[in-house]
Amino acid sequence: MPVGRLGSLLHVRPGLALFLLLLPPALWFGTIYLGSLLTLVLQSFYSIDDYTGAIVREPTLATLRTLVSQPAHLDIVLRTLAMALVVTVASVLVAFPLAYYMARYARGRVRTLLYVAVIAPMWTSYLVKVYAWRLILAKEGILSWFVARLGLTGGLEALLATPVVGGPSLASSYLGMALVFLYMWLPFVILPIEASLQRVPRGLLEASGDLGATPVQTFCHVVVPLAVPGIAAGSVFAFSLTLGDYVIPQVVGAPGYFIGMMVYEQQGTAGNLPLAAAFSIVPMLLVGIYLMLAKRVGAFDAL
Amino acid sequence: MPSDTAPDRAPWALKVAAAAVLAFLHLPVLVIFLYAFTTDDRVYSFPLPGLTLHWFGVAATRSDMWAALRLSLAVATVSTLAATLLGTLLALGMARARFAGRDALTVLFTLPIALPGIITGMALLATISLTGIERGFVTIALGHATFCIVIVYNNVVGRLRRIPRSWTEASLDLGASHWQTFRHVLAPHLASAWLAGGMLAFALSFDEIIVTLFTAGREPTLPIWFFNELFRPRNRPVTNVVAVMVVVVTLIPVVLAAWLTRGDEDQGAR
Amino acid sequence: MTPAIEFESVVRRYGALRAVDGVSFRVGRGEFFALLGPSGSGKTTSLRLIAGFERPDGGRIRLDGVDVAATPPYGRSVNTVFQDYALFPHLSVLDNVSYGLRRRGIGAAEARKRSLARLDMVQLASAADRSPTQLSGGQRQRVALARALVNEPSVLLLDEPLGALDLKLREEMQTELKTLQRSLGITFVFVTHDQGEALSMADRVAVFNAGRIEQLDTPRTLYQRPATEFVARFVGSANVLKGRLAERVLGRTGCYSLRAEDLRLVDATAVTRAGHATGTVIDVQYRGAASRVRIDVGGGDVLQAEVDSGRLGAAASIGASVGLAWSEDALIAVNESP
Repeated sequence: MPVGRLGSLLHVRPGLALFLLLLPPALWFGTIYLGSLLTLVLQSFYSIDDYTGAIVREPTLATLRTLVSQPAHLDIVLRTLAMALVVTVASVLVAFPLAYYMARYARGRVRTLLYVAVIAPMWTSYLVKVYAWRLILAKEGILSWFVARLGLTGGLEALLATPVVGGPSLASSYLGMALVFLYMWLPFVILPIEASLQRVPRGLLEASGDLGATPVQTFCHVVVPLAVPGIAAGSVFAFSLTLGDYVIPQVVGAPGYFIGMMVYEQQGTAGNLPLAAAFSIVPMLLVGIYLMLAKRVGAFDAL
Repeated sequence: MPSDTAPDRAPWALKVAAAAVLAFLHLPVLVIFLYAFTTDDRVYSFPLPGLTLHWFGVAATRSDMWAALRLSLAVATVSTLAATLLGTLLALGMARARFAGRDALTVLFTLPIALPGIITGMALLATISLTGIERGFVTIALGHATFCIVIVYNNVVGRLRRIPRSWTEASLDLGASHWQTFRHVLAPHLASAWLAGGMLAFALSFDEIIVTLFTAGREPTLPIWFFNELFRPRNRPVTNVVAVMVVVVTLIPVVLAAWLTRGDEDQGAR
Repeated sequence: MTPAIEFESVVRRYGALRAVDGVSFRVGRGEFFALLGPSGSGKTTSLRLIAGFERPDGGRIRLDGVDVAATPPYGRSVNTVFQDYALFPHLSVLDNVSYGLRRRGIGAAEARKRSLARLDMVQLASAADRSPTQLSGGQRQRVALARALVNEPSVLLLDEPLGALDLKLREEMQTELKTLQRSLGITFVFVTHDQGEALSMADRVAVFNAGRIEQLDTPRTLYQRPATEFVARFVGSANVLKGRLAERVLGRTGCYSLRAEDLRLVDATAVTRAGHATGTVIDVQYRGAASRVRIDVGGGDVLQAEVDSGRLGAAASIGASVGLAWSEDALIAVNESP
């Protein structure tokens, strides 16, 4: 049977076949994505001419220095970090009951249904969800109406009067913003926690009960520690996505700046690409640190 | 937790909490559907003063909306095709090969969806500015294809792992070349994985805004058009209607994709 | 005449493991050749090397006298019947059989004609339009056979061809494969871990152990004159007497094979000749016509005797003292395996 030259060559050198398969995606990815990440770092070492507004393509630390030396810039970083941490903790707390119920009690069709119910909102248009929250949180919107129906308007007003978290309405307060962040990333947090709880052998829970632990003790000393990798994995999403978002702070929330908004504004209206690049390196670093911490508790085994 | 033992009863507090979280996940989306029919054209008042289909007609006459929709569909189509090709090559290479750095490569390809979108967007913009490329259709599609590769890859590699090695060996043994084996044995079994991966990639591209805001030129994609509308209160009723359309357009392919790949993940779930 | 298959010091490594470790053999044309060994002994890897699914790390493989180092599987006049049959579920039975012909550019009508003829040969022409998923295990195997043979290969490879079938079907297929091979005159190479299968079907058997061939001989020679301790144990399930046991029972050093059916049970008091042993029955396995008796000959050493079930008599009771006798020529000196 005739075999072409290429056929023989690929048979003699199986590594070559693998190389040829991987070459196009690796090349694409290497140039477009990794190449861009490099230019991003490179851009942060450029600066901007104060008079002409043109980018000076000479390596300098000046841009990175303004990032850390200006109190306003530092404020933005800290505000974003604080919001990311609050959202991360809150989303784990809210995600846990549903994840626990799915893993421990749901079976068969109910399980499948719950799964779909968690995944569907994840794939619903991001912008539309943000917009929906604007409708809900608006001063005359659904939430206010509902609170009024419950006769709790006074409580809501007191909450909004609280310094830092409050504001003129939920739609323009950090409280509202955190709520929207929490909502947006919730499915990303539920799924890994559910997956890690799923892997806890039932025998362990029975053994704990058998050894005299109350259900609450079993939960605290067996279930939660075993779910730590899933919690860590889910929290990576909440943390990383909050750090890098700029649509939500723009649409819902208080006037204070966040990293994402700063990046968007610096590259756009301000035209200071080097500073925008420097700002976008911050979430990269923070996520890197967070990933290292998460890795220690086994987050990557849970994914 | 294995499913062979009968589940014990969930405490009622847990049931209530789980139900509350579920409601929290779903009610906001329903709100959008509600508002598309409101007669109110200025404020977000609730309860709705009345119901109307009027705004669907108004939205249909907005030529800028149609242009944005066309661009979004074109970008999603092109980037889905590119991602399908590249993701399939990647999956064919990775499915059974064992080489140093294999796991690192997998992690690398997930970075564009794992890292905040702002980093991908800003990185692409840094390159665009450095190379002086005109922003527009091409730059948007390049960016979208990059983060869609991993979606296609995941679907195709999952399917490839379920195809016994002996099938490809049998094909080669019977005299089919590698290409013929791909065409006559692998492709028929990959078809639904391609369709599913392609639809998810399409939905992801169609809905993407964070990266796109950096890579788009003057012509907006539908999400950018929508984003701009959010700051124009006068057009609010139209925004509501378009929101419903967007939800429907993205959810249909996702539901179809889930249906096409049912069974792929079954071993773990049952 | 050039051999159909020739292995010359072939080596195949997986990392540090030498799956095939310097194997040489020749298979003649029209021969029914078996590769026998326990799992992980290198027999399946050898088969895959012939098919071209694996590449040797050293040595030469020739098919019909031609070095096939650079020939991919689709360039070899070799076809395989896979252990799991590897029928394509998306194609009908007929399309499975005509797959090879079609890929080689044979027209649809001609391919259909030849495929139907092969299906007829395995009595499955009536199932041509069905899906392979609707067939039973035995039927699938026949389709796999037809799919391989329709290409008229010079060598047919069979990987544990009977492994997935139940006992009765397995015995039927043994006869059928043997008849088929005789009538077609094609070289058959088959892999098995079942020594009974290898002995009853093959013209010659290569016994594999730890990546090497221990012995390559006709079934009769393998059984009657095992060359190594491993072959004696694996092929004949023989007793092996060596070291302390050989010295005590035989009164000499070395390593010897003594088949179970060559041991006779005698009255314990009748053992007078030096070298013949006495012991205690610890287990009796009834196997129909014959029974297998395990006898503790002292010091924890156990010998097995295969005895006509009808003449088992009093020896059949566990705990009974028995004598063991054998003729000197039943004792075969073998090489000790590590």
